[in-house]
Amino acid sequence: MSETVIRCEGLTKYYGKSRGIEDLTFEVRPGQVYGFLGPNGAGKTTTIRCLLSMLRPTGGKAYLFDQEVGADGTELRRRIGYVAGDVALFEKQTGQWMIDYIAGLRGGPGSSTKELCERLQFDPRRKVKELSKGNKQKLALVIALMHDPDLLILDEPTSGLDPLNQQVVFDIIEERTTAGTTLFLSSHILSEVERVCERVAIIRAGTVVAEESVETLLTRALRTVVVTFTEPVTDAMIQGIPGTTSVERVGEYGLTATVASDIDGAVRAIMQKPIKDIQIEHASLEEVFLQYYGHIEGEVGQ
Amino acid sequence: MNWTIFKASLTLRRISLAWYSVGLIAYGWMIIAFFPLIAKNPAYTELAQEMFSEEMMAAFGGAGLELTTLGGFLGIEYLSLMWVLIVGAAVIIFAAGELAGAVEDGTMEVTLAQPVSRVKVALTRYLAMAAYAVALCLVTTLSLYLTGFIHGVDVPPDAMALLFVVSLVVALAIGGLAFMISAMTTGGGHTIGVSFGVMVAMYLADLLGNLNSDYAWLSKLSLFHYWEPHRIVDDLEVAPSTWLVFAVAAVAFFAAGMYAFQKRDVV
Repeated sequence: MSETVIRCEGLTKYYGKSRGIEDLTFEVRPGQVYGFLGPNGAGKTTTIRCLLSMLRPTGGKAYLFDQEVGADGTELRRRIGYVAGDVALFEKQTGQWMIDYIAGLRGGPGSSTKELCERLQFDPRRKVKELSKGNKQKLALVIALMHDPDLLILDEPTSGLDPLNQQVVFDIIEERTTAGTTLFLSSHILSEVERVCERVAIIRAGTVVAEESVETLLTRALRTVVVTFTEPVTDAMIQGIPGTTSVERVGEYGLTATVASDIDGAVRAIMQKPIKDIQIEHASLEEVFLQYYGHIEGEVGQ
Repeated sequence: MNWTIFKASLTLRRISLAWYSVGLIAYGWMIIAFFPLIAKNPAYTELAQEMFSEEMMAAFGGAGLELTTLGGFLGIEYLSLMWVLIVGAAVIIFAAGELAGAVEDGTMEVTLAQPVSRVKVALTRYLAMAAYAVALCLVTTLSLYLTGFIHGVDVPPDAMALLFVVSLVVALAIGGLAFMISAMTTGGGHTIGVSFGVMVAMYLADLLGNLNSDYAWLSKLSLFHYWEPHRIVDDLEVAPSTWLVFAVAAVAFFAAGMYAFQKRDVV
């Protein structure tokens, strides 16, 4: 058994003079479900591509299953299933052709190909160019999962999928991780990471700025509460909500509160008055960044 | 060599291979069909000599050639320039798609995420291009031989066998050049543009060298200078420099391409 499945030590990648990632250090242990969070352009995909030997690092080292990812890493990739953020497939061929192609490269058909196609309701007989974005994503998931890899590297895996299929994908991922598969999930969607990950690294401007458990992250994350009461909002109601960073009145009967901590206390305080409607939203990742790591102009949401 | 990649590369190009083959057969057939008319009527030759200046003959790779011999006629009308254009375009476009094009459209990422090494991917795709070139050269020579049979033109089989081998080395040199550029660039369009640019530069260098003896040295820098199909067809001869230049170019471009592909980022 490996001590670590992924280990990066000072991993750095520059594209000419442009920074991709810089001095990135983190590790993922066997069976761990690890989220890799950051806005677009933060360096998530660059990190993954360095791990898969597609990019040559400028500095530092990367290890998979305790072996250094060198110039090749061919045998290491046998144990990995990968879904790219921007799925690219052979457009003129059918889904089945793609599945057979990957099976050929891996030395045999996948053990769970048929089951995956059925669960994702994916018809492999159609040509890739005729598939919707969601169906292309399904095909990418099938070819990543069909050989039951030890490590799953998923870069925005639910991109383009409708909520029902997102549910199926997360069910499959949860089954795999329960069975011991290590998951490295790159995403900028907090709810996606919250659902499956135990631990996360937050990457900003090519550097890991925080690495902590999801529980800790969520305790510290902002939530936006939008409430409509059945009676007019009073100043006392606004002042009585604990843990807020801001509360705004919306018309005569509504308010929007940004809750930084103690969501339970805030909701209890709100529920003191009869409500017509309530909606609680997680803060976006960008908002979490702005709250905990300070805003650096031009960096977030690149 | 990876059989899955080899098969996939050729499968993806089967339609283009068919079209290039149709083009080569049609063009070769037309040339062979015309040859008896030219060979048996000296008036046509005289007319051609009046119509086409020495410069124009040189421009079509036919400097100093006779239209009345099969090798001369094939050289001027087909093999020296038109064949190089058709087969050159085919192998350049193939090589461009195999590395740079695959990096550009993202399919290289899908392939390299699997347990297959870059060396194997690049080598296999080169071999697929070589197989494609073999098919085109075979179509070229077989179509000349068979249409010669139909039109009563004596196309020597041994000359066609030799032409097949030499033309394959020529195609591999041009394809190797494109393979090397493809390994260094991102985007099939870049590879095609640069490769054709180099081919045009070599063609112009050869042309200038043929037209003006002061620039004869320039001609020697061009691959076109060493491609003498008329000598193969008429005399069953291949200059040692032809073998040497094309073989060295093919091997050197291939090796440089393999090296470059190992070093580069592939996304």
